[in-house]
Amino acid sequence: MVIKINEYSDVPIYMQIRNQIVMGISSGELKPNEQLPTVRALALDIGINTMTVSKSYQILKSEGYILTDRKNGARVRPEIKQSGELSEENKNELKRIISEAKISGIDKTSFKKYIDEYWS
Amino acid sequence: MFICIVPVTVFMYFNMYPINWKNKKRIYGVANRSEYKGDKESAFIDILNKTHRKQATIIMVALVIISVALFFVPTFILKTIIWTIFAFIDLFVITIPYVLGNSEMKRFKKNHGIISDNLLYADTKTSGCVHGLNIPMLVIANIIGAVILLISILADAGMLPIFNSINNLYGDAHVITILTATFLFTNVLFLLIAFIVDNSKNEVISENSDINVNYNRAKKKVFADYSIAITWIDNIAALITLIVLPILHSEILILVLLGIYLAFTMIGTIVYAIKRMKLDERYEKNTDEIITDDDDYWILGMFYYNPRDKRLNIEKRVGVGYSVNLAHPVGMMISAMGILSIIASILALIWIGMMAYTPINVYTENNTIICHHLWDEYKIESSNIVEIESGELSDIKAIRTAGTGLENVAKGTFSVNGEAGCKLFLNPQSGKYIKIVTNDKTYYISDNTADETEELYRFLLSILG
Repeated sequence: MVIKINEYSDVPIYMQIRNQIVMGISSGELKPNEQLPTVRALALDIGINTMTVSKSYQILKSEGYILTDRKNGARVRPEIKQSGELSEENKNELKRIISEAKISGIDKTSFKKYIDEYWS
Repeated sequence: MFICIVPVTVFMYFNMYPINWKNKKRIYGVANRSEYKGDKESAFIDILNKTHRKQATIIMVALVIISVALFFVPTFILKTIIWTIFAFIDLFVITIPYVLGNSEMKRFKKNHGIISDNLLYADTKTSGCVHGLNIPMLVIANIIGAVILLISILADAGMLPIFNSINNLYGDAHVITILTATFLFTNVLFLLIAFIVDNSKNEVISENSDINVNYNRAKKKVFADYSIAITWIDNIAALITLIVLPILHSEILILVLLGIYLAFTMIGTIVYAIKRMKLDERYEKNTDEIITDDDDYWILGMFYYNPRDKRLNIEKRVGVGYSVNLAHPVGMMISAMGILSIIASILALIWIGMMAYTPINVYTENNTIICHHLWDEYKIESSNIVEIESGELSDIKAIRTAGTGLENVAKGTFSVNGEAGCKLFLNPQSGKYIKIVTNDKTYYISDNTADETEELYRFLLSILG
């Protein structure tokens, strides 16, 4: 899976890494149990500080997306806990996106098309 | 110098100024984009490339002709000085059309509203786990090199009887160790570089991770093979020196060996460069487009300066191999060392020039013979002199142990006719020598001409009674 980082984005780099790995797991690009690069290797390839990558991995671990241990490094969690519910934070984020879409003049049907596209 | 400079110039020409720029990853150090392949844009770049390629062709032909002409420069010293200056000028001049092209391409890109997307890429499948280095092969080659060095040290220590003739000739100068270590020093550098390159950043050239894995593995393997090949060339050169030195004691032989060694090293480097270029072309044709746009960080399309990038070693934009990030603290130190070494080369040239063109001076003062040349001075007390004789230089065989051996001056410690530790201070052009044996040393001195040397000999006889 190719991670793309925009160094001038308003979103901090550690969040960009976190978001893309989550999207990778969701789309199936990153398979359960798949090995992730070490903090040092990923930092070297992107050309950023190791602390930044470390922070992303810590968040991913605390959110239950990945497992880390000293021996095997980081890997995608084989069974990610499915709560069946959207978190409050994501609900708020979705609300914001829908509001912006409405202001932009996008109707519900068109919006659902986007959902269908990204869902698959 | 010819063996190194001419192939490098020709390689730089073909690498910097390609005929078909459309197949290349970069045009004059600027990332090649699909936007440049439209009819109008393509026509502009065609003209730009044609103009600078023509300029470079004229420069390259002129440089090759000058290189051939330099064979006719008289005297070895003058040749060395001119060749070294020419090497610097050569490398500078051949890049001028490239720098102009780089500036025009950056302007063209700006005028077309193409701005950097500031995206950085990493592939989770390649990060840190793609290597091409065959570590056992490299380690074995280095162990063999270390064994050759150990034999050289033992030989210089007089522990191997087969090398006694060499030790008798050169005394304690550690000639065998110095010669083999000179060849094997490159091994240490390549050992270090091979590991750095093998663990360097993996490039993302495609959305397909398998292509990224294959490309990076192939790229690293080509460099690893090159490192191992150079290590073996060094080992063979050191081994031949070790075998040949006890049989033939000749400086000319060592120079010939050095020439052959340089030729093989150049061939190895050219093979590596061609393999790398072919690899890049193959992947350029077969992959979808992912461009890491860092053109603005490449000063003149050649020097990488990016304070936001934490990496030290970066793949070169032009040529093959690796460069350093000048914004990195270690990169700054390396570039400072590079600049210092250029200054040191210029100072060394001035020093060699002064050595070669300052006449030697021999005179007597208060019954002491003083041999003076630049910063060196030998003082021979007449009361210590045991024996004095004169002769023709063609009758003696002097092998330098430590010191200077130029056309107009030979000074330092030499082995003369098998006698180690003799002090020489003479102008080989005079054709004559005066041998002075003192209580503790043997000196061979002369003045600048045969007549002056004879006159000096008569004068010394008179003061010694």
